Formats: sequence, structure tokens, C-alpha cells
Amino acid sequence: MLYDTLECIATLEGHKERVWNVAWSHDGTVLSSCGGDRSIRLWSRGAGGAWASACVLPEAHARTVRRVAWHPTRHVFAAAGFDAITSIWERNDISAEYENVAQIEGHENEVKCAAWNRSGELLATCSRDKSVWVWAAAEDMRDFECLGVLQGHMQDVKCVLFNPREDTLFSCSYDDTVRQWAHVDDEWAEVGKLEGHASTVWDASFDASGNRLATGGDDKNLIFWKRVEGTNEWKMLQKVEGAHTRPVFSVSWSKSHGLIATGCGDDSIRLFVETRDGEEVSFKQGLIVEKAHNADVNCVAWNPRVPSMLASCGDDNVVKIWQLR
Amino acid sequence: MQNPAPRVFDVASGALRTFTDADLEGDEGAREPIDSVEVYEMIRRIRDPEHPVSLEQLKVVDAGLVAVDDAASRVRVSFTPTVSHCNMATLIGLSIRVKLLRCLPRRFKTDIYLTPGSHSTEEEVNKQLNDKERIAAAMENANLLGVVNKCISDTD
Repeated sequence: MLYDTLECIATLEGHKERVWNVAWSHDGTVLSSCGGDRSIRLWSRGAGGAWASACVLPEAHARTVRRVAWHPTRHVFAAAGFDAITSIWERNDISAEYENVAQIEGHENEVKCAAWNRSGELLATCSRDKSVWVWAAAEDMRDFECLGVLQGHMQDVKCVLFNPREDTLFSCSYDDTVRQWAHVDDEWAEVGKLEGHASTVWDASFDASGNRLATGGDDKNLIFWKRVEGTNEWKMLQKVEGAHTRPVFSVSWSKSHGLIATGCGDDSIRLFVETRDGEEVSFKQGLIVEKAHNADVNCVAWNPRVPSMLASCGDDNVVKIWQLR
Repeated sequence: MQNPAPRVFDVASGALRTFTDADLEGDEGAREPIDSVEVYEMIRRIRDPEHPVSLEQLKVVDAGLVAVDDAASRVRVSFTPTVSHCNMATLIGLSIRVKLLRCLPRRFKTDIYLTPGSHSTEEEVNKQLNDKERIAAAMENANLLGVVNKCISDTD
């Protein structure tokens, strides 16, 4: 993909505290944001085409809302709260408002992330209590049955995500590892461990094939991993050191054009591009937006339907929308 | 009690430097330069969680262990617990972090570390004190916030 710049096309204000996460609905029409002010905000394009607030869900949780995960095919999302609850919200097609349709309890303390599998039938959550839970969602999204409590991490689990091509689950932790889980012999079990970060692994993102993974860590490194073909084994492909000057809090790998965006504690957004030299594949920094936010960039997310569009948020309480040009 | 009879040192009672009105107020929105003396001034009166004395009086904090890069907007503070197994270390570090969060202009990024070799679980404490997600969660815990507020109240 050819591009010269990443241009900020909208600065969305409204959150009163740090914004932890931004996420796009499956159809790319709604952007969610959430954070320290306990609210969830939804943004969409107004009649004139400008991005504006579409809905505010104040006091969505009793404490920080850490992340929002959109269902892969429906206008439904899960929100992970520091109040130990995962809440499920569904759009009411008549009023077009989002309603809290389920509250999932089970974790002992802060829920840090939630993720759906590719069909939207499974939901995974993770917490400071070191565990990852896998839930089966009822068709009406009102009921969630626990299929497994996955123990293995030695410390807080910061992030969970399913492989986009199959139902294997990955989790990133304060214990510096990424672990892989799968449904084997009728139960969810750990099937692999990715070791390479020297500190907390904050976030991860798959490429479109599901055979490569990018992870960002508190060690300021971005690591690319590749699956050994036909196995559950993952090998480090490349460690990008020296590019980021503070922790890498967020990674988003575009499923359409393949650019990898990172959000960093040095206030910058960077884009990494895959280059090929014969058989040799490597990733290089292609562009940097310094001072993308006036504080840590906590999250970056490519729009799933508009490939050139990226959303970001930060400790400056602001959400931004960017366009590749 | 971790250290029932810590050594208490004599310290200056007034401000380390007289700040002019311009230093304290400045122009609204103007970039106000900060140096290590100012940062030390912000943290020296923080109270020890266990004793009615300041971190400065216990030499837990020291002016020489505050580094400021104003141009890059970075602050680094190291502190030294009075005993190396002190389980108050995290709480002391948290108090320093919260005080600086409230006093420093928002452009600053702060790293807080134990003085190398000063603690038996140094790496663990350092990691915790610099994980902003854990700090955010801790600050939503009313009991913990109460204890921290007690350590830093009236310390300006």
C-alpha cells in the first residue's frame, strides 16, 4: 500500500479521563471508546459525514472500563471492567440505542480484556486474577455458560484474542509470556507458550492468515511471530528493538493491506511495513506520527471496512481518527 | 512494623529554594520549565507510612536521586527503603507517584525505581510501580487511596 502521511481527520472529545481503548464495530460504522471515567462512548458519522458522538453510556461500569470487544457479525459488544464484571450490550433495532443485556461475573478482580471468536459463539475474558475464562454465548446474548477457567499465567493477564481463522485462543501477560490455548480432548488447555519479551506483554494482533502474530511489550519491543506450518508451534520471526522509546501498549495488524500500527507510551503512532528480499521477510518502520496524542497512546485500531482509516486514543482523554494518504 | 527505630536525619525546614511568583503561577498554557530541585521539593515532605516523619528525614528520598530531562519531559526518581525487606516499599513508591501525578505538568512521564540493591524484591516492586494499569486500578481502591492520601496530604 502506498501512502505519504497519516492525517488526523477528527479529534473526538468528551471523555473526562484517560481513554484506554477504541474498537470498531464489525461493519466499521461505529467506533467505541472507554476508559477511566467509567463510560463507554460510541461515535459515528453524522448526516454531513463528520464524526460525532452517537451515544454515551455513562457509568457503564462501577470502575474503569478497560476494553470493548465487538461481536464479529452483530451490533453487540462486550465491555471489560475493573469492577470484575464483563457487560454485554446490544443495539435495540427500534430505538437504535445500546442496552445492557447481560452481566457476566466470575473473575475475582479487574477484567482487563474480552474477545470473541470468529463465529461470535465464544467469548474469552482475562483478569488480574491470572485466569482466562472461555464462555459460550447463547444466541440471544442473554446467557453465558463458562466452558473453562484457564490457569497457567503466573501474573495478571493483560489481553486475550482468538485466532481469526480457527478457535485457538492467545493471552498476553504481566508474566512476560504469551500463551496459546485450544479445545483438546473435550477441555480447554494450554498448548503453547511464546517467550521473547523481557517484560509485560500489553497487546497482540494477528495478520489476516492467522499464521503470524505481532506483540507489543513493556520492554519497548514489537515482536513478530510465525506459526510453524501445520503445528501449534510459534517461532519468533523478528524482534523490532530500538524503534519505540517507551512501552508498546497497542498493536493493530490490518487484515486488508497488512500495515501494522502501534500505539506507544512515547505519544507516537508508528506504522510498520512488511518487506521481502527473496525468501527473507522482515518488517520495517514506515512512518511515524510523533505527538499523535499529547500523552501515552493507549490503543490503535484499523477500521475493518475502510482500510485506510485508523482510530487511536490516549492518556490525553482524546479519541482521534486518522486517514492514510 | 518493618523498621521500629529508623534513623531520623536533620533536614532543612523551609523550601530548598525561593520560588518567585512567576515560577509558581506562570502564564496559563505556557510551557513551564521544571528542574530536579522543584521535583525534589514536591516529594521530600511525603510522610513515611509507619512513622510520623518525612521520607527526607529517613533519607528514603534524596535530592541526588531525582533526575529531570525538561526538554524530553521525563522525570526519574529513585528511592531507598530503610530496610531491604520493607514491604512498605510499594506503598512509598505509590505515594511518590501519586504526588508527582498531581503536582507535575501533564506533559511529564515519570519513572520510579528503587535504588539498585536496596530491596530484596527490587525487580518486582519496580515493575509494579511502573505499570500504569496496575496503578490506575490501585487508585480506584478506596482503602489504598486513603492510605496514600494520608502520606501525601499537606506536603506541598
